[in-house]
Amino acid sequence: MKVKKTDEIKTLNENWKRALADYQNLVKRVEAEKKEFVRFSNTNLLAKLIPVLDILDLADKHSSDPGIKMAVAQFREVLSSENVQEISPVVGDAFDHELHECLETLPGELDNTVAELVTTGYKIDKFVVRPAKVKVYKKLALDK
Amino acid sequence: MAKIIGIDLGTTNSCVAVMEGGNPKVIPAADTGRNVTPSIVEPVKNLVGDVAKRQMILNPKNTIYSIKRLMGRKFTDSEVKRTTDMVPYKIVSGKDNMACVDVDGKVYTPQEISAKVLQTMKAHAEAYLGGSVDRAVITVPAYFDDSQRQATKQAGEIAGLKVERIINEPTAAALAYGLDKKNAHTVAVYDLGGGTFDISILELGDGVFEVKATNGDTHLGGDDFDQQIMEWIINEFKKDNGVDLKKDSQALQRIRDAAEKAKIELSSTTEVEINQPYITVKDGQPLHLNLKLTRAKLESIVDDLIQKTVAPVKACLKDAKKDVKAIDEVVMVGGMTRMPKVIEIVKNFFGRDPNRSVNPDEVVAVGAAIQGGVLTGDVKDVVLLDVTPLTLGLETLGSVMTPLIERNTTIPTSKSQIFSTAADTQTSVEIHVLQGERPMATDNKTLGRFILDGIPPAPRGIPQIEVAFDIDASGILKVSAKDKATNKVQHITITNSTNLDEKEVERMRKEAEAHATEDAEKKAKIEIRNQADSLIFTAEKTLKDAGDKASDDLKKPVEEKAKALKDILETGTKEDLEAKSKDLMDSLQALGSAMYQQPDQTQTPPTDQPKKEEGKPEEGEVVN
Repeated sequence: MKVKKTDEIKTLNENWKRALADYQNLVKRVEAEKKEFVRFSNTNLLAKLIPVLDILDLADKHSSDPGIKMAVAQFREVLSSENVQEISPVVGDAFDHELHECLETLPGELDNTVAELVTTGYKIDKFVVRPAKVKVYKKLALDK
Repeated sequence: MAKIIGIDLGTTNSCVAVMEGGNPKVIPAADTGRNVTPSIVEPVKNLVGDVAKRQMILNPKNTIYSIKRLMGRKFTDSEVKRTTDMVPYKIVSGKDNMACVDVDGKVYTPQEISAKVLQTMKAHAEAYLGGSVDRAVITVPAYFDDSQRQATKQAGEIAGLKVERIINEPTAAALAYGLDKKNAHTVAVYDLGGGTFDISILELGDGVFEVKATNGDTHLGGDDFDQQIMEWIINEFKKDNGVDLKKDSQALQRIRDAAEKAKIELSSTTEVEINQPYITVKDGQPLHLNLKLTRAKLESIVDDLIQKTVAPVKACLKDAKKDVKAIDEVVMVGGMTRMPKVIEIVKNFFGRDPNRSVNPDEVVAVGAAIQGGVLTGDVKDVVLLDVTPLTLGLETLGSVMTPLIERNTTIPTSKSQIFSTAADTQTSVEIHVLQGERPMATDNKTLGRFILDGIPPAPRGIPQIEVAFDIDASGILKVSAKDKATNKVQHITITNSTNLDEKEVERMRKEAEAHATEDAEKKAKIEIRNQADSLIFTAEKTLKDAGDKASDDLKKPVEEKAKALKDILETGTKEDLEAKSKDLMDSLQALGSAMYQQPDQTQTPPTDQPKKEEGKPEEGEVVN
């Protein structure tokens, strides 16, 4: 009987410590998740805003109004002040699946290099908010 | 014991979940933060998920998607043939004539490709849990035969996972909805995902899940819906502008995104604007895509696709030898089941509202995680922490219910608050323990009452009585009241504080909602009355303290107004009480300031009635 009680106490003690530990771990995770959450919520907002910047960029390309240029510049200033970096590979850069998304391939000698930047990508630190959308050169001979 | 994760290994997307503290938790991908990962693999560079998807167009022959369609099938299988026509990568006949893929001259089995997806899911779980994970429950469609199940199990083993169980997707969905805990059931699981449609009829009883019949369309899903919306957009644009956007890959990409976005938005709104400025250029002039799409229009565009699900449902019921009326529950799985039209079709067919409270993208993984929990004993042995279904509190001055423990608080828990007396020289207080959501004590349920006496006589508001509520894990509520001056304690134990039956709880909650406004008014009136009562008390006290130090000119209005207020205290309307209280307050202030301006007058306000608390202390208010 006594042995049974001792065993029970041991189990209860263990369970209790486990619960305490679980709680401690939860506290730590909540902290970490809070930081993550801020990053994700920023990212979500950015992911919605960036397409608007794309359109402004297009508008700038098609218009000679310097006002649009100013608007685009201001938009970018805000982004960079929030630590958002552009991903804008230039022609000849190697295609990087971490940062780029291939929309289309074009015949070209320099296999697997960027042929054209279609839309700029954005990242915060290492976290890619949206990859840069690019066209990529592909040697035709290899295709067949 | 190490955790067992649950993995939904899907045709288009995969998802992983785990039991945590008795509840299933869907694990977000470490790199994207999203809860689902595309089931896309580039085996040469070992890319999985979104990164593999990004280079899909660049390396179409190396990028394997929809591998689930090949799982455990012979090369000659008709489904394999159909897939061969659909995908750009090369499908070959491997060992034992099984379908395999050839990437850059190297042959991979579907198991190896799936293993890479599973490995990624495992890694996400490990990153989240902060430890190694080596056991899993993996789901498969109900129609998977033994060889396909075997192949899925092998994929898990290649990924370094001990596959504790392979379970059917519809079974997982039923588990996620907790249908196993209800009575014997016949359940229909309607699963419209990204690329496939499945309908299954399950029979549940005594923890046994039996798939009675299953049917579906292996080439019907959200992607087809997107495709039809895209075509509509392209046609509309052509009609308006005479330009075929199909030839413009850049524009096509934007339209694809816009189509999916519009489809998703139209599940919650009835009209969206598809707005893509500068979509293309005609004769040097930029053209903009600007279309309105209503929900009704969308429904007509994709109607044929939705109707295509009806025949398999009928066939499935026939196979299961069940009548529509025999179905006790309909469960929705897959992102497409968010579409109101899909819900409507299902509702009309089965004559009941489908159950869709669990996220349809995650429900299968959640069910797999629950199964994992059952296997580790997590679910069986887990201490199910209960919650208090209704608020617990006590009655304070004016029959007001003052809550101490709000409803839905996880128990065990305890809470204490300090109260005081309502009258001078009050030597006992009655603690009336209440349960319910209504602001007035009488409208709630009395759980018990007791009296704490022996409080030393003191002016109202001075004694400090600490009331503590403590509910233990089994729902037993102990209420104690302690006079802080004498340390005298009284308590009561109430055993049935949480076990109201469901109907009772529901009724009380409904009542609370229905009476919300009227209750609020009632409570406001009582608060005003309590304040007025306090004010009269202060006025009388001030008059007494003033004695002959203040002139009758000042004292008289206070006396009169205090009496006027007292007369209407029980009968007056809220407005009257407010007006008369204000009158009294003005005169009282005049009297008060006159007293302070008196020379040689001690400035100390009555020690037992600090001036700043004028009109404040009352039973039921926290004194400190």
